[in-house]
Amino acid sequence: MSKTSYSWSRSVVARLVIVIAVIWLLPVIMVVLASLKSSQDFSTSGFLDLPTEIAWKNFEMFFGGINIGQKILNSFTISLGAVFISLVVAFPVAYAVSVGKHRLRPVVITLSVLIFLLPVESVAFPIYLLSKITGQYGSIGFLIMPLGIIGSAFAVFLLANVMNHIPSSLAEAAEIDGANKWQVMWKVVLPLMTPTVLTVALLLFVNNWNEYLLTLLLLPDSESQTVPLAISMVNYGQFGGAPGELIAAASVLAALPSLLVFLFFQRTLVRGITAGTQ
Amino acid sequence: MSTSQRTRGYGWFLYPGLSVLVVFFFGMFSWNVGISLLKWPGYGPAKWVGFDNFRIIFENKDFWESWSHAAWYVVPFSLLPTIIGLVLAVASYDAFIGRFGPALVSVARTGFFLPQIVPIAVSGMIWMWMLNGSGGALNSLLEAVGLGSLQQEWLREPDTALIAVSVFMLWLQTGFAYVVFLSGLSRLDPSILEASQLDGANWAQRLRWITGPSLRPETFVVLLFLTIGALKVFAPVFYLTGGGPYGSTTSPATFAIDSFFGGASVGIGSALVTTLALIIGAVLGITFLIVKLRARAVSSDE
Repeated sequence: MSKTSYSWSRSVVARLVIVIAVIWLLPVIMVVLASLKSSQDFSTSGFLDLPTEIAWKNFEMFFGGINIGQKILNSFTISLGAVFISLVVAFPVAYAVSVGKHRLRPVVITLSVLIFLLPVESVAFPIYLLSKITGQYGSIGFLIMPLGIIGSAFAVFLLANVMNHIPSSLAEAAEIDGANKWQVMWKVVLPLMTPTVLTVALLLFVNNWNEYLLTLLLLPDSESQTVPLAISMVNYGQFGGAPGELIAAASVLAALPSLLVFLFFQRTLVRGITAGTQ
Repeated sequence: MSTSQRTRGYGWFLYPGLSVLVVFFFGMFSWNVGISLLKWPGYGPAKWVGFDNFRIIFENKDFWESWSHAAWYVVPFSLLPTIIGLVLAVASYDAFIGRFGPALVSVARTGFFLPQIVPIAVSGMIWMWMLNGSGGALNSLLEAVGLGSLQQEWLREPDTALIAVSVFMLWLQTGFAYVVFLSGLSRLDPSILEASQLDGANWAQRLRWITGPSLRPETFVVLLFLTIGALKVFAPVFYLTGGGPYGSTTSPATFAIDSFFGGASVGIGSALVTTLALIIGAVLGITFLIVKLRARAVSSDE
């Protein structure tokens, strides 16, 4: 008897959670629907009505007018380049303080937490000045450097946390077999850490793809602009107060890569975020 | 002895990366502190003015207003997401175990976590569009359910704009808390919960005595990260209202960035971000001190 009433309440709770989750998704659902409507359709239909016919032309104009292809390439170059720098800087540090049990471990962990919790704004202006002084203002290559270094603080923290679970006997055994520390890192530790490295890379990629402040400061030309910022200009800038269906199409385009990464790697990403809090 | 020998020689791996981090970050940070002591338009000659910039900002009421907003933003950016995320995670854990299964958890997780993945430049645009006074989704919805009299220019009135930014923050951050708590719950031994259910503990009692206490480490980390995030919040404000209307939604960070690029002196902007960083540093320092002291108190009790 009590068992039935219990599972009844359980199914109510389950439904409630799903309903709230769908409400949470509503803004995104509305935008996807709107992006597929013709301008006629958009102005007459409700926000949750399906489009009468799919208007791909909303998307087409971004490939002509603001040359979204170039921006996608810029975003990929910046995001991937910065991820690469973060990993190259962070992995050996994490290796030294985890497998190597280096005595500076507490200092390194504290520093990396401090750096990724402090506001980027507190270093943004000097980075901007540095780009001016070195004549690199507006260069995509220059932007990759600070993004990569700031990301490496987060990478050190997460990699060092997970790598600490690798038993030191593994490294010892490899060293007894004559491997040096460099080989242990490449041939023993890296293969074991591949899933974590992938997680960190994905998290940093999404972060870099969505970055706004340094990108806004350092890349003034529309040629070198990234996707999210170019797209947000649709609302303020050259299309000032653009029609809703175009704003919606722009939003979908700009969010797409991050969304795809999320949908395909949901588990990996979530594991990474929670590893950072344990 | 053998351990200390084995752990020698890792400096080659540690110091290059560590010095890149330290030199870069503290170099840039000290440079920023240096600029905050100058009267300088950002080009040409600069004049040393000591702590004058700090005196100027402390006398500016817009500065205090941005901090009063920051204190307010802790609620929708940190406290509410933590509470709602915790309740939702415990509810999901209770309800989905067994016959509902992992597929539903994944639906819920996608729903709550998606706002963390969409670029804020984009989600800000989406919300602007929803909250638009003429023909926005929210006003149309109010119309449709017969509450047409509540229609507003949501982002153009100071009071409603602050509420709009707050709701946007809640929408953004709840997923982070939810995901962290959900994974914390997966550590729990299901048999304890089963036993408590057999003993007749209801949902709230289990939250109070079992699931809640066992999530204490996660609660600490989520609250700390989100509170710091609230104090330094930039993008949600910048992309939804830009700090307006009439400065009614500014945060310390948007106020600082405006001062850098709209104002006469970058020294003022630097002083503002230096203050922000110092306050965050102080919050972190105090938190770690409390954690240390409590840990010591607990170990001396035993």
